[in-house]
Amino acid sequence: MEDDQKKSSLDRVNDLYSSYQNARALYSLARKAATAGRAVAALAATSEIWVPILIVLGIVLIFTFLIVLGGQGQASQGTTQNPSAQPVTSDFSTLFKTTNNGDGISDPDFYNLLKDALSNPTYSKLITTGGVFNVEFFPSLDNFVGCQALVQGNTIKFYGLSLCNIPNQKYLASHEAGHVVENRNARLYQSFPHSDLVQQDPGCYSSLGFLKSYFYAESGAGTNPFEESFAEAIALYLMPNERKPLTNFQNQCPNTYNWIRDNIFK
Amino acid sequence: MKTKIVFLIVFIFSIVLLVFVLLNNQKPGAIIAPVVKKASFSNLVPGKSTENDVLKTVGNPAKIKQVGGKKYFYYDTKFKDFKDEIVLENGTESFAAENVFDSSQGSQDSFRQAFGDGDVYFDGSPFGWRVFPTNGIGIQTDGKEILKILYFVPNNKSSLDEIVKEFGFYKERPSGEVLRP
Repeated sequence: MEDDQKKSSLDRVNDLYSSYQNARALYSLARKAATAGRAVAALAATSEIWVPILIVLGIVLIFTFLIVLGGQGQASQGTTQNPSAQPVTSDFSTLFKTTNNGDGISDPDFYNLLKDALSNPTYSKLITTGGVFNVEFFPSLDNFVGCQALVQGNTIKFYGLSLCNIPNQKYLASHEAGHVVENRNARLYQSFPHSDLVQQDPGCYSSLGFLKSYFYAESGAGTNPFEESFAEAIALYLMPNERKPLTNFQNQCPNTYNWIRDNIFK
Repeated sequence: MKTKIVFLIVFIFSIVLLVFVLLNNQKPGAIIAPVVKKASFSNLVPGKSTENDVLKTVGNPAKIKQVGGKKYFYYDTKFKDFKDEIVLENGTESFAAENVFDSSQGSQDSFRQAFGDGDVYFDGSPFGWRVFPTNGIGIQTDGKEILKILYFVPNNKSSLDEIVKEFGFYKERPSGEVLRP
């Protein structure tokens, strides 16, 4: 037992010495890299063309080694993939974070409401600009039957979502998530050609400039037609045959449909 | 395992090399200054510039709206839904709003650097506003980029109140969507 312990102490010393040697080697390598870097920078100063070439080469080198390292890591683990296993469709934590304050649905169920959108790389990137978006679930508001929602920045707040059927849940989630896209992408928001689309798809918009499927299309209710049309157009794109009276969104409102397709879901 | 270590060492070497090239590429004497291009709309001064000054400097507006003693001049920009606006009261510029569509006018941080951190934040839809009352400047911002710049009479409460009313600033957000089951 004592011999084992002595061996173990000796091993520890050996390990420490090896680490020290490795560190010295790394330090030496880093100094050489710094010297090489100075030489390269001096060379780059002689001509502007070297700088971008070297930067590109450096980036390519880094990514090559990242890929190789990643490959080496997988090979060394010795795992074999089960060809019949279903790949994970989404890691929700990279997309959204939910908080249940007395009413709500599970993360997979919420993901399923927005699956068509979140599985689109362009949309997914837009809605997660700056990080995950937040979803908060609350019970239904007093004296109100049904589900409601509003958006503050990158947070969607649902009230009584579980009281609505799935198509209505999907519509509400799609519309509100559309507001998150607009809040997080200011330049995209500015480029939405609302006035032009009202003129080009006249049968789709109310006299106040809202898409006719929007609940407050005829009254406005103090909401902004530009912002609501942006969000509603996204919801219609995701549910193109379900929201009256625009139950054939692509054909009824081709210009609006195409703008959403080309700018949000390309 | 050994191969992995070799690759790791070469990777670190690449990083250090790249960092040195990038760091040494900076021209000597380069100063990264905050970018706030201007503090007025076409050199007009709220509270002082007259209607003639506006027409001479900015030109004829695409649309004019008269509401009581106030005249609203609207100028086209590259996006039809976002018009620049100059409001005149009794023949004098009251305030102006200029749309910004890129980063050339600066950022929220560069404005706070230029005008100090004594700004007042107002909520707005869909983006908030930062107002610098002592400078007569306000910006609509998503937290980083500038979408609109406001120019008003500095240190003037009624001028600021007018801006708040005109652009719908608020402290509490109104309620959202309603959907029946």
